[in-house]
Formats: sequence, structure tokens, C-alpha cells
Amino acid sequence: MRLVLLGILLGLMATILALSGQQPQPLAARSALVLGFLLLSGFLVGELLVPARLPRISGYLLAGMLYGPALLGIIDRPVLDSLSLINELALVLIAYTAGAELEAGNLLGRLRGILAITLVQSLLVFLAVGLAFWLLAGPLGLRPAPGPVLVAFIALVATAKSPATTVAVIVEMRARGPLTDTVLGCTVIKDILVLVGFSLLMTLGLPRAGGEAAGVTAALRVVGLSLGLGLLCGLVMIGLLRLLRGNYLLFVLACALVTVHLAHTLHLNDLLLAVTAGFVVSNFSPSGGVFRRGLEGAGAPVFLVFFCLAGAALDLTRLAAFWPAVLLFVLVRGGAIWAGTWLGAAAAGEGSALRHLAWPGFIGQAGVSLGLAATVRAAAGPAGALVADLVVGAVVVNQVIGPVLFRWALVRSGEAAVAAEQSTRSD
Amino acid sequence: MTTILAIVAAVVLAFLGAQLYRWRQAPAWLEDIIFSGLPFFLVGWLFGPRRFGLIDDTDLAGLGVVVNLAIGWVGFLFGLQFDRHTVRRLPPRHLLATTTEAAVTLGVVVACMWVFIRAGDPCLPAGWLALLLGVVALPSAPALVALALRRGGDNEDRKRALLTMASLDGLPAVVLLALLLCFAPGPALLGPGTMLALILGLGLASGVLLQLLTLPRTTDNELVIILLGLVLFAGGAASLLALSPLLVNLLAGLVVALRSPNLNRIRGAMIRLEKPVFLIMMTLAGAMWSLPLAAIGLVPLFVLVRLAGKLAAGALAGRLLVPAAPASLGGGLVPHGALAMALALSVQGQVPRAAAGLVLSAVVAGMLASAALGRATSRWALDEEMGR
Repeated sequence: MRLVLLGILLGLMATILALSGQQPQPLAARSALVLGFLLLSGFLVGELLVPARLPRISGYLLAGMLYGPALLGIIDRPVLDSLSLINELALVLIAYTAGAELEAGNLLGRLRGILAITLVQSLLVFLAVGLAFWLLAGPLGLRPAPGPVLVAFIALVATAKSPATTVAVIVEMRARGPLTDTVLGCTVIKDILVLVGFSLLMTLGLPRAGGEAAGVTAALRVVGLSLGLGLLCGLVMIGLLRLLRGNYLLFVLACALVTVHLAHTLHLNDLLLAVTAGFVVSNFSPSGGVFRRGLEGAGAPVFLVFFCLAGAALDLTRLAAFWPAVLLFVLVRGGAIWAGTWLGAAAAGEGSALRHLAWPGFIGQAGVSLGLAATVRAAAGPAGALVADLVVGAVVVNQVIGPVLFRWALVRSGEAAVAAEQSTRSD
Repeated sequence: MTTILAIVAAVVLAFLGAQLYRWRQAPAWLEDIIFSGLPFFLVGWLFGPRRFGLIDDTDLAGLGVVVNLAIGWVGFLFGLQFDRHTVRRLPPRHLLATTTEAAVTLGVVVACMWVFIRAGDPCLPAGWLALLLGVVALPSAPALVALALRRGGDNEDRKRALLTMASLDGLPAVVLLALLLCFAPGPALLGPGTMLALILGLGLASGVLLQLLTLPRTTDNELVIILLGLVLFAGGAASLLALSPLLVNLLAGLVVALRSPNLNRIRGAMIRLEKPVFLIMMTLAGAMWSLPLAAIGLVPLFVLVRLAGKLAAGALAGRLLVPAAPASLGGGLVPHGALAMALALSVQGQVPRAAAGLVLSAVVAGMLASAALGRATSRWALDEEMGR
């Protein structure tokens, strides 16, 4: 039935586009049509994957890739650009959700494990991927060969992960427990580490792009200001929530718009800012439950739109062009994440479940990595463009396998409420 | 600096707004203005490109999708009210009265505005503009009318007559605007007949598609995704083909209302999001709004002419429904609301900028006037002594 509906929808879309082919096309109208089509078809593709025990966001990503500029071209570049604000709003809402999912008590109780896993894993991934590309870039045919700074950049991108993917899978599976808390905590700290590391690299050797401030001091300033302003935003939101009677969805959307604007205007990290604000509202206010309900109201469509657009933004041609190097990146990174997580969890005295099942939570890569790649493409000439293409290709693979592996880990650990309900029903 | 000012303004406005809701002694006219959503229009205008620029022109272009969604949502909800039960219970004289009310209002507004526009600036396309203004003058706001009726009067026949007319007089407005867009002057690749056939086809196909999509059991979240997707899809397709997104979504809603076994769930989900969607629409309308010079004189005239038209139309049509209807019955139809705003927004980008600005300004002024006067005119319509 769903496959038939997908066919009908595609047929309708093709007819409308053919009819409008000769008309002047207002971008807002085309964007609305594409967004509506994405919501409906992304939903259908996501549902088609459920019987195969795959997460819905994999379906959303697949739908985005299928309709994106690289394949069917239903979503073209101008439409993608025109939806960038919607995309940014979605990212901020996802970051609010990430913050709201973090419980202060759990976080403090697990701080040792979170820090150990983050540091050991990041170090191991950085060294392993860096060494692999230092030794094998030439034999893999990467020309011009990346220098030490660019190799370090590849290694740094390998340590980055997609916070949005983590949150989306956790929300879809309604997961709760030590593994979920640890992965979420590590995700936030990794975001800070990657930001500081990237700024350090910019200082060491990458030219500055677009007048962007570089240097560790600047990076620490961005981190500090993002956290500080996030705290302030959270406190203001708590104050406003006390005054509100209803309209919570509208309130959350308005806050997201202000957060996006603040991050843009003050050149801060929108993810950190929003995660902090969400964390503060959820943990230090009696209105935390109301805030979470407001987020849940927007949640499902937001995830769908965000991941469909993320899928469409992935350039699949890069994967085909650099597949040996991409394969090396994915395999070495995956192995190092597994080993790093195991070692970090063991060092912190964590239990067997965390040691063996937390690593898939760190595989998915998306916006952060693509953003870093875009900066390097603009800053480092032909070698930078080559490295950026490689990163984009690797992100395609990691973003496809990441959610699937993380879903599997949550089910195996017994923390996924959805899986428990499904097995009870099947019993 | 502008950002900080805008944020401070947002916080202060939100605080004041929230306090006003809690302020039990708020004057009645202020309560009506808050209920009309106009404060959100003001916030949008303050945040928009013409004041603090928190929402700049690029953002506004990106948020065009949201405007499209809001227009479609209003149209779809309007269509949903015509379920089989309601349609069967609708006596033909109600339809006749509504048609009369719409025809008289349209006639009065179009004729007067045509004269005013021609007298003010002979270069403006007077006939076309007067028709657009006539169309946006038609719909009354059923929610505001119902609110006003709840407050006073015990003549149930009169109340029912007013509510029926307020609920239905948007239908000719939506249809007329769609026809106006089909027959709009200027280059068009599709003929009016083709455009009308496409409106019908797209509306019916969207309605059937929604029915099929909601046949398997869906959760509330999934239903919201489907509804958002369908309204955007239908509205976007209509706008892309230079058709009326309002009528296409109205037809889709009509199909669902008449055929879907999940009507109550769909209606419930639509109504749950109605208020946020309406308030977002008002905010974005505020951000888009600019008052064209030509509109400065025409806007107050539109408000007066609409008031006169509604009074005349109510007096005539009321007699078809209630034998002893007072001449002031039309006073109950003065409230102007979401549908008029959706009509005004749906012509933005489809007609020249100055005309679109004038239509939007006229609707905002109409809403402001109805918020300020609606209570008094409703009381007048229901008061036996005053009405005679």
C-alpha cells in the first residue's frame, strides 16, 4: 500500500513539475511544494523501513538522497538554499531536544565515564585516521597529496559526530538509560573538542576563510560565549514560560528563531547555545515538562525535514569518485571508535554494556563534518577541495550506517522502549 | 545593536502580552484586539525588515513556505466544516441568505472602492483593485462572531442566522479570488479553463491522497506530518501553477469532510495546530507589511465601506432567515479574521506589489476596526430595542 502511495505521489509531483515547466517559478511556491512532497514521501519511505527494523531517519536520509540534486533532482540547489532557515530552525529544535534529554543528575553521576570515553576515543580516532592517511594518501591516489595540516584536518573530522542523528534515534526509540545518557553527554563534549581542535588547526596552518576569526583563544571565546549565552537564554525562557498559558509550540519556535539569529549575529555555535538553553530549561525549571511537550509537538516533522534535507545535501558523486579513500576513512574510524570506546569505558570502570554497545552511537556524521569540509574547501586550495570531497564521501557512508548501528545498540542494551513494546506485542 | 533591541522588544512584548492575558480587568476592546491576533502582527512588523530587521528579507523569502502553509491550513480547515452531517442540515434558505449577504457586501464595496480609487489615482487599475478589495471584505470571522454572540442577547434565531452567514460567507470569497487569479490580466501560459480544471483536479487528488495516507493506523505525530505535508504540497503546487492555494486546499478539505472515515481525528489535529499557525501567519504578515502611499487614504475608506456593506447585506439577508430581523443584524457580521488575512496573503506575489500592499493594509485595518467596534456592533445587532 505504502509503495503504491509513494508511486502515486511521485506521479503527481512529476505531473505538477511538468505543467509548471514553462511558467516562471516563484521560489517560495516551489520550496513549499518540495517540502510538502518531502514530508509525505519521506514519511512513506521511513515507514517502509520499519518492518526491516531500520530507524525511520535512515528512510528520511534515503528519500533526501534520492530526490536530491545528485539523483532525481526534485530538490535542486536553489530550493535547498531557500529552505536553509527552516533547516537551521530544525537543527536548533533538535539541539533543544538534546539538551532537554540530558538530566543533570545522571550527567554528573556519569561524568567520569563520559570524559574518559570522549577523550580516549577522540585521541585514538585522531591518531589512527591521521596515521592511516599520512601513510596511505599517496598509494590511494589522492593528488595533490594532503600535507600534515590537512591530514590532521582529516583526522579531526573523523572525531566529529552528528548530534542530530544521535538525538533523532534516541527520540524515535524512546531510549532511556546509562548508554543513552553517556552517548548524549559525550556528544556535547565532542562538539566542543572538535570546535577547539579545528580552530587550533586554522592557527597552525590553514589560511583564514572569509575573515573568520581563528585561534584557540577565539575558539574558547566562542565556546564560552555560546555556553554563557545558552545559560542566559535558558533563564529567560524559564522566566517567560512562567508567564505563558498555552501556545507552547509557538513559544518554542520563537525561541528557536531568536537562537538562530543570535548565533548568526554573534558568530557563536548554534548547537552549543541551544543544547545549553534546552538543558537549563529542562533541568532547572518546574516548566521543564511543558517545554519538553512543546518540543515533542514539533519533533516528528522537524526530524523528518532535517534528515531529508541532510540527505539531499549529500553529494553522492564524491562517494563514487573517492571510494577507496572513503572506505579507508570509514573502516579505520569505525575500528578506532570501537577500540576507543571500549578502552575509555574500561578505564572508567563502566559495565560490559557500555564497553561493548556504546560505540555505534558515535558513527553517524552530518552537519558538523560537512560544515568543516566546506570551510577547508574555501580555505586550502586544490588540496583542501580534495580533502573536502573525501570527507563528504565518508559522511555519506557514515550517515547511512550510523543510525542503523545505533538503533541496533539501543535495542541490544534494552534501553529502547519502542523495541520493548514491539516485542511485547509480537509475544 | 538592532538585534539586542529586537530581543529586548520581544521579551518586553511577550511579558506584556502574557500579563494582559492575566489582567482580569483588561478593557473589553483590548481583550478583543488580543484575541484577534493583531499584537502578533505588530511583533512581526517590529521584527521585520522595515524595523529592527530580526527577520530580514532573506529570512522572509525562506519563510515564504510557512506563509504558504498557513494559507493552506486556513483553506483546508474551511473545507473541513462541510461534512455530510452539516451539509444535510443546511437549509436552502441559509444558502440563499448567505449568497444574498455576500452579493450585497461585494456590490457595495466594489462599487464604492471603484469610485474612490478612480477619484484618487486614475492610473491605478481601479476595477481590478476594487474587485480584490471586495473579495477580502466578504468573509466574516466565525470565531469572533461566536465570541461576540456568547456575550449578549438571547434571541437564538438571530444568533443562528448570524453564525450561519459568518461561517459560509467566506466560501464565495475563496471561489471569487480563485476566479480572479484565473482571469488575471497579464501573460499566462495556461488558459482560464485549464486553470479551473487544474484547481479542481489538484484539490480532489490532494483530498483522495490524504484519505489513502490516513487509511493505515497512524499515531498523532504521524497524522501531523501527513497533514503538514499535504497542505504544503497542495498549496505549493497551486502557487507554482499560479492558482489559488486557498481554493485547492478548501477542495481537499471538502473531500476529506465528505468521504474520510478519520474526519474527527483529522479535524482535531488541524484545530490543535490552528492557533499556532494563525499566530505565525499574523507575525509573518506583519513582517511583510508595508503601507503603500496610495493606500493611506483608501484604507479607512475601505473600513467604512465594508461596515456599510455588511450592515446593508445583513439587513437584507437577515430577513430571509429571521422574519423579524432588525435592520442592524449585519452589525454581527462585522468581525474580520483569519480567512480575510489568508486571502490577502495569497495574492502577495501574484498581483503587483502596490496592490498586494493595499489589500493587506485593508484587511489589517478591517481587523483592527472589527476588534475595536465588533462588540458594539454585535450588541447592536442583537439588541431588540436598539435594532428597531
